[in-house]
Amino acid sequence: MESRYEAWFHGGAHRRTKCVDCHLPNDTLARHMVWKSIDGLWDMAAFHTGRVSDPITLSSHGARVVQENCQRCHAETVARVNEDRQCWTCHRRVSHKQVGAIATWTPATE
Amino acid sequence: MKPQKFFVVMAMVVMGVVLLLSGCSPPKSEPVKTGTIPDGEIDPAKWGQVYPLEYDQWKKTADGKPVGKSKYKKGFDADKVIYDKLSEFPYLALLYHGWGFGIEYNEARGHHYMVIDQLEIDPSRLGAGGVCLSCKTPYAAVLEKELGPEYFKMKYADAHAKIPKEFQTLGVACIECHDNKTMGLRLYHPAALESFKFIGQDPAKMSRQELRSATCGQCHVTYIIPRDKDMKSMGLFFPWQGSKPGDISMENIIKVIKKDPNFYKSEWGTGEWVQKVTGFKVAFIRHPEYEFYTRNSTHWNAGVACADCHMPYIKVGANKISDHDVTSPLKTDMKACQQCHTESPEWLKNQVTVIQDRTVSLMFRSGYATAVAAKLFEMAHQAQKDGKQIDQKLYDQAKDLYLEALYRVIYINAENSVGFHNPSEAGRILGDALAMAGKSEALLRQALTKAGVEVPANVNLELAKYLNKRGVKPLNFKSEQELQDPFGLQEMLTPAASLGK
Repeated sequence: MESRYEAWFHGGAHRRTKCVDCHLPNDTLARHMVWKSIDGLWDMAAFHTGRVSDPITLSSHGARVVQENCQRCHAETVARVNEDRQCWTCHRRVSHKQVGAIATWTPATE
Repeated sequence: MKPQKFFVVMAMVVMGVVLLLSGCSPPKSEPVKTGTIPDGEIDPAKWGQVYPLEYDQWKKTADGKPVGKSKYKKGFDADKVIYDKLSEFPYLALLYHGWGFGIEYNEARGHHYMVIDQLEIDPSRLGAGGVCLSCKTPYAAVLEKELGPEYFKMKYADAHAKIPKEFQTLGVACIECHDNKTMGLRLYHPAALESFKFIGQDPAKMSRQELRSATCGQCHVTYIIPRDKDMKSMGLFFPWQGSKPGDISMENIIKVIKKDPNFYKSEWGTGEWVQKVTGFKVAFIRHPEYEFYTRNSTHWNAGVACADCHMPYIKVGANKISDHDVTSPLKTDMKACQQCHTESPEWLKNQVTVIQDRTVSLMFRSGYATAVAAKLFEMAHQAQKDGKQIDQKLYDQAKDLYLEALYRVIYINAENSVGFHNPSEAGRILGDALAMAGKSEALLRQALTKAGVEVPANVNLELAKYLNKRGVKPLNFKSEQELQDPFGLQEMLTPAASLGK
């Protein structure tokens, strides 16, 4: 995850948000804590067994969570839009892989 | 405390905390609703009270767009010049001679003018009757419901008079794409609701992204007006039978319009108009944007909908909305393109112009080749009148090829992007047209020679006859509007002296 981390702190707009602001549910504290423990356990298992895909990708649950969080902060902006595509399909730079060293990866290294 | 009691208390505390936490989520932000839109409301001003931002943009379709942004599509521009397509592409005057399109045929002016254009154009264009209103006014669906089949065949002016006075010049309105309760998209036009089923698509089950093209595809499609034996209009449908979503081919459309008995009820009339030069009764093709774009074009295959380019997202105040001032991306300095493409507007515009130049050169090649074949049919028919024998086998084969070429020429000339919506498909279709018209010409030359008629190397097209004194206005050739072959090669095939302009 280092390359993603590096890309994130090189990226502009979202540098003041923390990982968990986007990657954990933030609608209620309960849901936040439940998923924090589930995801944390997964991450611990993945880290210690070394079973991490490279490049690391977003699960479908993870995508739903990120989408919720985009819409949580940008609620006013998208209030008049019914968009069913994921935000980062168009706003591609948000997905912190187009800055830093990771931006130079070719499809073969991906 | 007994252990059971302790457990119950703890459980209650935990549940209490969970309830407390989950009850504290912030309220979902919703736009302020200033009113509700009644079912079946057509008046856009009423919709505008609830959706003022979109309404304001929609009203801008009345304004001319900056001059000089597009090389070939200038009908929208603020200088208000009306561009005559028959002067731009003179071969069309010959090919369409015999009915409304050969009299007055202008470049489109945009959504606001769709009914106004009909009221101002030569009345010969409205010969089909009330059916002409079907895509032009939101009231068409209402009239169709109230009047039944009579609506299609009644006089245009009579049908138009049945629209409430204040909405008689109203073009495309909110209700034609939107659900009044949810702002979601849905189809509205009866012919579209029917015809999407021909390609196996249920309009009620389309995804939002599909609808962002299909709503446009309610009108930006070609259609057939079946006629009864007195040539009265009987209805309206899209010739999509036998096609699939994303694969509505030129070939399949021709199959249907040529009255393939599998698709076409035999009692319905044959053809819509008689081409004067050849005397053939033929069909017509209009603005096939949806068919053309969705057939494996690069952008369609990338998941891009019509609205992504023609109604790109804009920010108005704090809100993001899709731009309801529907227009070509060329008119807004390629902002729509830059959502995905990182190049400069100049570079992007050049890409478009290069594609359109190539398409226009092929439009000239195939258009003039088809016009030459039409003139040879005229000669063949004259020879027959003079008692000469024309080889029937050669004639029939030439006629088949000629009609195939003609429909292809009509198709691309009616499509509103000058090839850009699907460049390689435009090249394929016009290339086929050129080959077919060329072979048709060769067969006719052979037949005429056999009959002892001498055919000149360069057939005189007598364009002046078709270009001037058109209709009641009357209209004449505007040489300043004629487009030039971007590669300057047409002169080799149809020398200026043989055009007879």
